[in-house]
Amino acid sequence: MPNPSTTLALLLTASAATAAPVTLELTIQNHRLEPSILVAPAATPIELHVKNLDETAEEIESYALNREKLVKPGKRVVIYLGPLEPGHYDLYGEDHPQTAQAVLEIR
Amino acid sequence: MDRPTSPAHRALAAWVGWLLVGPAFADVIYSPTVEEGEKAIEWRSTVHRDGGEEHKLELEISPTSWWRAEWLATVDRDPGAPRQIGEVSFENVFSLNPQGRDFWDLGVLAELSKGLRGEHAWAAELGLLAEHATARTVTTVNVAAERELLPGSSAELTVSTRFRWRLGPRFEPGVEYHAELGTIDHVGSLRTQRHSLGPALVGRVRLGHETLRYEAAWVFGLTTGSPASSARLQLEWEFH
Repeated sequence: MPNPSTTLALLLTASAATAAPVTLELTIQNHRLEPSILVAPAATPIELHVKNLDETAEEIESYALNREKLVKPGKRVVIYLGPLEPGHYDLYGEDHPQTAQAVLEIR
Repeated sequence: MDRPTSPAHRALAAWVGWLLVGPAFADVIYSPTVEEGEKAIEWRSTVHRDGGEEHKLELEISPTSWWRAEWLATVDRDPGAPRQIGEVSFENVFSLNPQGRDFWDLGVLAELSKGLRGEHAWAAELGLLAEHATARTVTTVNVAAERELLPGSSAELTVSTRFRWRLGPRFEPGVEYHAELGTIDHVGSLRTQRHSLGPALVGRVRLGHETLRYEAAWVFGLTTGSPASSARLQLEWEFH
């Protein structure tokens, strides 16, 4: 029978999935998100590396992905996602929602 | 007038009586997730069926991606008594891992409070916060111990959890459970513990660059040691 403390440790530290994560790059520049379409496989964890080249902060937001993340000027953050089901997941910059838009396409 | 005698009437009368017996505790459920740069003003109110109330005004700031600090003032009222300032608190949430990297997002709650009535005692609270999200659901669990910093006092154990469905930003219905288990050196029997369960609603509304978040819940006692019911409302005006 497994040790309860070992079981608890495994439960708390269990990875979101066993598949190796896919790394995607997203750049904030001129209040736009580049590329505007990101593609990743289904059922795979994703590390979305976001780099802000603008001189103002931007908050990357997605209700579909359940994420809100501030990216300071000149800085880079990592947003951990998934594994996700096939579909399209919208992302946008909260401060410039008209121009800072992207879609994560899961195939 | 005749008293209701059918099983349905008796059940209804028992249920109404159960709602009116006294207060059940229901407090905030903390997410371990910290949004860097977030500032907020928050109002938390809990109203009990017996007339007791607790209201908290809070200022919140998240200077880093792993630390959220909150300053609170509490005004409360026992049934039939006037409202009074009860305590002031300094509350901290420390995120232990990046959101979504692991199966559980984990955090620590650390709070220091100063009572402004009675013995004016200091109190400390330490808790473990955990959250797991899928595309459509969020499960949050808080386990905490709070102790008045007085000789001979013991830490009281509490557990809170909420499961909610992410139907849309403005409307996320769920279920909340709160438990007061007793003190660390004397966890009471199930009959004397307080266990409360009820529906909850969480959502947010965008107001330009700012966000108004709300949480509402109505919980009912599950054990004979549990007082009847309480409703809570939490409003947060969030800005960057």
